[in-house]
Formats: sequence, structure tokens, C-alpha cells
Amino acid sequence: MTARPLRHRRAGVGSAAGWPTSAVVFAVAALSMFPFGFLLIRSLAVHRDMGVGGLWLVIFDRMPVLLYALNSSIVSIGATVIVLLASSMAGFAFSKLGFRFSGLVYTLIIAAISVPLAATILPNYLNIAKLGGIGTWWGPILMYAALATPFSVVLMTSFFRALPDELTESAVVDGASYWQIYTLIMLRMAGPALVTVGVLCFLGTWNDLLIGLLLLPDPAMRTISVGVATLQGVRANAMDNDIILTGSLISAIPPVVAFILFQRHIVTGITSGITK
Amino acid sequence: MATHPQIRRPGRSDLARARRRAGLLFALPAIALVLAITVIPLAQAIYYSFTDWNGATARWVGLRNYVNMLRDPELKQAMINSCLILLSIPLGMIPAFVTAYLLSRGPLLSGLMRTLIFAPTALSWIVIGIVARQTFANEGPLNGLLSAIGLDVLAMNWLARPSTALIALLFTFNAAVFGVNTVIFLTALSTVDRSTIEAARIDGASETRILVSIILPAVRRFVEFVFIITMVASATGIFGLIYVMTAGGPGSATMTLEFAVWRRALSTGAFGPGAAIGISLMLLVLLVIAIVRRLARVEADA
Repeated sequence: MTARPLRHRRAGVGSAAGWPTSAVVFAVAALSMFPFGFLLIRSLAVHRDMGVGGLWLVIFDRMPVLLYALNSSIVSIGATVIVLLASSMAGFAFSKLGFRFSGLVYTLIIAAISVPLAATILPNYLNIAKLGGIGTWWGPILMYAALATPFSVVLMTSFFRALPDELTESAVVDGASYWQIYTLIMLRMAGPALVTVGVLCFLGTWNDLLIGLLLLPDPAMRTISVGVATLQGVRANAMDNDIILTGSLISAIPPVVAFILFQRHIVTGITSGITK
Repeated sequence: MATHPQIRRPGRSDLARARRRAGLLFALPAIALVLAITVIPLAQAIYYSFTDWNGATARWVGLRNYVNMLRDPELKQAMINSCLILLSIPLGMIPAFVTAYLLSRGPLLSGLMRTLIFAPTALSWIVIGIVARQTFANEGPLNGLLSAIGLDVLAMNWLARPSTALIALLFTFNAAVFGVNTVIFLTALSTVDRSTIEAARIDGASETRILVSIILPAVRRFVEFVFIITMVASATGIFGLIYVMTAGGPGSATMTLEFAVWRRALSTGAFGPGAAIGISLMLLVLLVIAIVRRLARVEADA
């Protein structure tokens, strides 16, 4: 994995830029801020007898914001924990241990990345319904975790492959169990890769609509994405529109914060498929 | 047994066997997840796509679901739209590449500018869709801007007409992936060998010439990568965007194959035909990936 590729941007391909370059880039950056500016300005719009910021109070009457955010946290954190465990263990297995047909199994896991959810969602929905998983937390958590697993396994495997084999081998000679090697050596060194896997899984789960819509039909268990999408159903006037935008903005706060904190890890994660 | 465990020392083969057993155990949770949620459901979906499965009973109908797809005007529209989104992606990649190139030349505050351009990537398709829906609405900011600059004639209810609704969807999708694609291209540009460029510059090559002859060939793999991940996102990841922005309408003007699985199957119980739509979508994605890979190889050999 290339560590922090963005650090090298100053050593890029161009010469020092003149002001036209800076002006164009400024304009593009300003346009990119449009959704944020639009959401913020409209959420501060004044309606009826409310002052500025009134919509930030009204939204709590229209939608149980904190409950929905809690529900989103339950599925996002649950799925992220499972993916971190499953993918780091599998990455250790594929990179350092191996087993019969492990090469073939690894190839199949890579292939699973390109299977669209739309192709498997119908059997998944009915399988989970048959097992009684609709309206439970484990149904969506397992589903989200499983969907993030193939990409995360590939990322962890290539991270561990870059570590020297002697680490594992000398620990075996010293009498360490494989579980000890995994927890005491592998996990301790895997920090950056674990952050990448964790952030991508958290963002993907928090921002998803389809699975929440299908597997959590009980309004009390709605995720905030489903809650915001459902608000749109009761759209009527200009104030309702601005309430929907306020809800959207609130739902975006956790992913935006995670994004700002872990920007570099996200870029590394996305490009890890090609820099190796 | 012929072996005498009591006189054997733990040798290399015992260690190797223990290691393989540990390997299988460590990989098991991930394998189980992928089997349960991807491999088995995919096999089921392929089987059910040849049946009239309604969730309870499934009768074998051969290729009927696939043949019906070609006859169904709404699904035909969905196929065309899925292909149109795909064709719009290269157009969307050009401004992303240009922006990355300009960013790589070290403009003022380039770190901050990169963060601002990348930031919309954190927004979900639902939030993007809600913003887009209101932006293109009759009383929305786009029409406001058009009248402000004296182009009232162009102001219209964008999402109410089939052709402009589809254009609005294509634009919104490409605008939403602009930031992440720019940042990937920026990473690509940072891998280009700087000394080659310096040498060319000393030899008097123009910046355009350097871009076309050195930089573009060096980042070709990244261009292919960006196209493939954007294509996969457009085909399989924008259910939420369409759901809140247009719900596939007006009529079926903005239906895609992915959205059709929802509208035609999940909400009606026609699971057999729905499975056929999903499998067709997967075949389309795999076909495009194969074509892109082939083109990239031919170009590399040329």
C-alpha cells in the first residue's frame, strides 16, 4: 500500500502554477461546495414566526432525529466491527498462512466485488425473511458487513502481504499460537489499513438506503437515511422543502466529520486496487 | 494406524498442517459472509430468473423472463438509460482529469482546494438526490439563476419532462462522482516520473506535448480504473439517488435496470422476472469491464 500518496502532491507533474490555474481551481472548489451551501442556507431560512435556525428545532418534531441517528449508529458500528474482525483475520490467513485452495477462494472473493447488489437482493431479502431477520438488528448488520467484506479482505490481504514473513515465522518458532500472532503482531501493525476498512464500511452503511428500507420496516428502527428519504413523501410547501433539507444536512454530519478526519485513508483505500 | 505418534518429533509437515488449519479457521468468518450474502443468493437468482418465482412457488419458464424484458417498453427504456449513463461517464471524467492536472501544478492553497473538491463524496446519494430535486425544481435555484442572467426562456420544470429529467439525472450523477475521480487522478499524476518530464521540458517540449506524450500514457491504468469503478457505481449503486430525485419518472424516463429491480419486483412480488433484470444488469457490467480491459490491452500493445 502506498502510504499517504497525497503527501507527494507538491512533487507533482507540473511547474509552479500561475494565477489563471489558481483561479480555475478556486472556481471548481466553490462549485463543489454548492450542495453544502445550499443545504446550510436553506436550513437557516426564516418561515412564519420562527427566527433564524427555527427549522433546526422543527425537524425534531417532524422526525425522531436522535432515535434515527442511534439506529444508523447501531447498524453502522455493528457492521464495521464485524468487517474489521472478519477481513483482518482473513487477510492474515490469505497472506501468511494459506490453506488448501486458498488461492482459488481468494480469487472468488475478488470476483464477488463486481456482483451487483441488484442481482442478489431478491434472494437475500427472502432468505433473511425466512430466517426471521426482517425487523431485527442482526439482519441488516450481517448484510452490510457481508457486502463490505470482499473489498475489505482484498485491502487487508495486500496490506499484510507487504509485511515480512519472518514476523510470523519467528513467532511460531518462539512458540506463539496463531491467535497470539494475529492479536499481538498483525493487528498492532495493521492500524492504517484497519482505519481505511473501518471508515469505508461506516460511510457505506450510514449512507445506504435500500437495505434499511427493506430489512427495517418498523418505523421505530428506521435509519436516518430512510427517515430523510421518507420525509420527502410528505412534501407540500416551501417550508416542508426546507425542513427536508435541514434533515438531510443533519444526517450528513457524521459522515462528513468521519470524512474530514480520515480523508487520506479514504483515498488510500479507494486507490489500493490499482497502486499494487 | 501405521504411524507411531509417541516417537515422532513435531516436524516441518506438522507445522505446515497446523498452519493450514489455522489459515482455514481464520478465513472462515469472511468466507461464510461472502457465501451467505453473495455466492448462494447469486446462484438462487440465476436459477429463479428462469422461473415465475413469486416468493413462495417457482415454476420453470425457461427464457421467458429474459424474452419479456426485450418486449417490455419500460424495461427497454431502463436498458437504454443504463447504457446512456455509462456513455456519459467519459464526458464526466474529462473535467475531473483537467482539475486534477491543474491541482497537480500547485495552485494557491492546493491542499484546501483538494479537500473542498473531495468533500461532496461524503454525501449520500439520498442527500445528493434531495439537493438535486430541489435545485432542478420549478422554483429552484437553477431557474432562479437562468432568469437572473436573462435566460428566462430556458427556465422550466426540469424534472417534469422526460428528456430534461434524464439529462438532470446524468448531470447529477457525474457531478457527484467528480470529486472522488479528481482525487484519484491526482494520485495518478503523483506517480508520474518527474525526471522524464523535466528532461522533456529541457528538450523544449511544450506543456501540451508533455501532457499528451508522457503524462497520459503513464496514467492510463488509472483512467481505466476510474471508468470501471464509476461505471459499476452508475449501474449498481444509485438506487438511492433515483429513489429520491425522480423515482424513475416522469413515466419511466429515468428508470435504470437497477431501479427496475425495485419498482418491478420488490414492490410487486414478481421475483422471477425481477431476478432476470438483476442478472441482466450483472451481465451488462461484466461485459463492459471485459470490453474496457480488452481495449486497454490492445492500446498497450499498440
